[in-house]
Amino acid sequence: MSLLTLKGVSKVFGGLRAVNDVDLSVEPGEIVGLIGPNGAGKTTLVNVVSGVFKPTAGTIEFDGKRIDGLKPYQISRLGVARTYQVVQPFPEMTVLENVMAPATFAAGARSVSEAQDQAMEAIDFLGLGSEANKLASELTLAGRKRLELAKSLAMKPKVLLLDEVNAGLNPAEIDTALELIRAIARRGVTIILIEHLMKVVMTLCNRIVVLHHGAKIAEGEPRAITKDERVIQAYLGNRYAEANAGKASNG
Amino acid sequence: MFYAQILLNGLVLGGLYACIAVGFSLVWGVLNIINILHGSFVVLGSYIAYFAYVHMGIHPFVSVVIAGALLFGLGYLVQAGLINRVVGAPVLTTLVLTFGLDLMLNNSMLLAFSADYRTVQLANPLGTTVISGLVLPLDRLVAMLLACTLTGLLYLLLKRSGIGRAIVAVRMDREAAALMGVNVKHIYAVTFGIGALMAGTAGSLLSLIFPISPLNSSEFLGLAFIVCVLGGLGSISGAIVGGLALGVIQSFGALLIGPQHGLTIAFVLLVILLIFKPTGIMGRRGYE
Amino acid sequence: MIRILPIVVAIAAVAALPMFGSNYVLRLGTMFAMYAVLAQSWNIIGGYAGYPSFATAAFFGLGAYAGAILQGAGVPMPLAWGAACLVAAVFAAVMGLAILHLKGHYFAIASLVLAEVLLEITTSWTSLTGGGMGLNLPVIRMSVDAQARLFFWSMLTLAVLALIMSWLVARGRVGFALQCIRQNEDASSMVGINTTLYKTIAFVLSGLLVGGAGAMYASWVFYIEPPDVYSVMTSIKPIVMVMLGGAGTVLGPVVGAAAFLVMEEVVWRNFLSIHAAVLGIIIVGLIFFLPNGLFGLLRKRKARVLLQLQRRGESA
Repeated sequence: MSLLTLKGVSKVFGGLRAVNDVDLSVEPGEIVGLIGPNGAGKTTLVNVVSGVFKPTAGTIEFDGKRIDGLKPYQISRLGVARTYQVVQPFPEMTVLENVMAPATFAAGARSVSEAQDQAMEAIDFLGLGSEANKLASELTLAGRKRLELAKSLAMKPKVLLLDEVNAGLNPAEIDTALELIRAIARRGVTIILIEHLMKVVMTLCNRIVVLHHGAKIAEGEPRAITKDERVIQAYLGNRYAEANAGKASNG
Repeated sequence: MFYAQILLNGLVLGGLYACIAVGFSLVWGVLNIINILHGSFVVLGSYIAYFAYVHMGIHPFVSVVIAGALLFGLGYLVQAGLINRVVGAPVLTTLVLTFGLDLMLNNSMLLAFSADYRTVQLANPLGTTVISGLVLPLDRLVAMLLACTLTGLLYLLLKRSGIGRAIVAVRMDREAAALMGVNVKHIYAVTFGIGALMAGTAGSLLSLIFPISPLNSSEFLGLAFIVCVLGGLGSISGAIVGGLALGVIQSFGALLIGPQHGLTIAFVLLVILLIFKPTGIMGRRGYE
Repeated sequence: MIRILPIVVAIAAVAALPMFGSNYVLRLGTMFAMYAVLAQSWNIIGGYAGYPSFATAAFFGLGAYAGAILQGAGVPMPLAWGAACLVAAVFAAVMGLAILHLKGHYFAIASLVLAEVLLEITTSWTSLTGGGMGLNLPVIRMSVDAQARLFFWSMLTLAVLALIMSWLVARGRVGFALQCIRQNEDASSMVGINTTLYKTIAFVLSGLLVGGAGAMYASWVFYIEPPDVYSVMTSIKPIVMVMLGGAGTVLGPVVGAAAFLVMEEVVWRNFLSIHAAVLGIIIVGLIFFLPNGLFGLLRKRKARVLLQLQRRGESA
């Protein structure tokens, strides 16, 4: 049985169909890339899965349980964590306190010391150990992104939804982030990754799902996706797709 | 026929409510500040009209200009000098600040004018006429028409003039407006001044209808709130729709449960709206 | 960090007031205790959770009338006070569910209007509440001195309860959740915090003891009427007190209540006709010159001193 199953999920805002009849199955241990042009509905889909929005239609099953319609805090406690494109720390608290919050409220740590231990474990894993007592607002952007990952880890998630975790990072920082994501996956966390950077998607993911205007237009191995006509059309427009198809049949 | 009269009364009252609220709505929509001083500004406008009439024989409809100008100046100074320093501060800070300023203004008015209720007794009132069975109190009607005219002028100002467009720009996106060369601080002060101006002019017009006393300021403030929540924030049309709606609802409500409960009806309506539809009839949400 | 011993000593000293002071001083002490209850309670929803509540007057007035009506029906005073707390708490729970999903200005206004609506209902329901004519409470068969002591110690007990409540919340799970909610409500949801539950708890706590204070006040003054107990000033003053002392701290509200009471007495005795304006000036001054309250000022000064010591240590 799949870990996370979306069947016919749609989300409509007024007149806008942000997510259109999406089916998706994610197996444990996968790293799935979610790509698509701007406005394709990727973040909305993540919002729907994590409970920020209720789907207008369709069902979402996680670990055998229906989660569509549950509140975000309930879904978090069941084991679905997500990060935000624009990081959302608790600015006036230290790194340690920031990570103790999910340890306490999502992972169910029963005492302050248990929460601290769980938090430090996640903090050390993400390489933030030396900054544990710094205020979240004092970290660099890369640091804050790592904090966000630490908070997600402290929730002991089974599925982690990462929304553009590399936005705003320089190439060196991106390489470090890739390593961290791989390390998290090795711990047994299933990952769904929204990304714009092709190199990240190609190297990390074993499967890619492409969204366009809210609908799933392609799904499969990274190599196959880059050659898929519909995908090329979605990103680059009709003329390029035709030119590419013409080149392929000639060359 | 009877219902038509109730409706007419409601509309006349509503037009005045709209005039009270439109300045308040503008300030809330553009500066994201709930101006507790608004009610006292209205009362101050009434006093200006009262004293202008009693000491100089100037008709309140003419005083509208005087009250407007004086209140604009006061509003501009208060904003530029004091409120500007907390624009963008949390809700609590701005609310408590304008509350504190209102305490000062209200207390000053109490000292200067005492709490005694005064009314403007016109030497030559226009009286009432009856047209096809409907009783039209002419002074009130003219006041309401003047109120609508002023509101319309404000609408034109916002739509057509340079400064009006600057105000709308700041409302939509403060940073973008600043990047376009708009002097945001000045616009804030102008907007607040306009808010005070509209309050003062409303007060002048109301001096013929409501008794004047500093004790009334919270009632005007309450009415302004309700109109904004009812009609939607920051837009002239919202204030008009909200004002007229409130006037009519109160008028019919008074029929059902008595006129002394007019304010209760309004407040209960406010709570219900806040719980279920804070964006109001026109659906425009203010800043939160 | 709060050291327990000095606080206990301070409370004992205050409790001993009747031995040293006249009934006038006792009256001031009772007012101080009442202000402390209001300020501590508000601090939970306004300081810890960051929700600008103006509902204090609603809880106070509701408690006052609940207590007064029960006493009029023959219920013994302490029971009436306890019942008033419960009435306020239930009201807070119900209204909280209705309005806590609102943010910022909308929440502030909704909470403010609660008192207005209660005032109108109370004034209209003459058969139960005496309406605009007010309500008299049964006379207590005790000497003036004994009464003064009774109400002083009762209100002081409530104030100590409020302090303990605030302290427990601050160091517990609830306080942690409220801090997170204040700093980033969306992220709070994401890390597993049931924000509706914790906000409602905070709102209920902000009303529980205030209801009791209202009932005690009614018993103390023997006569209440709607504009007196539902006055908007009852909502504003605790906010000013907490701003004065320092929001989000455990002792800040107490310090602020004391400071406010002193200022209020001085102004009342010397500037009666302009006391509202003076309060306004205090508020304006507070916002511009003391935005973090007295505690915030102390904290900054302490930080500056520590920094100087550190620098001196480094250069030595």
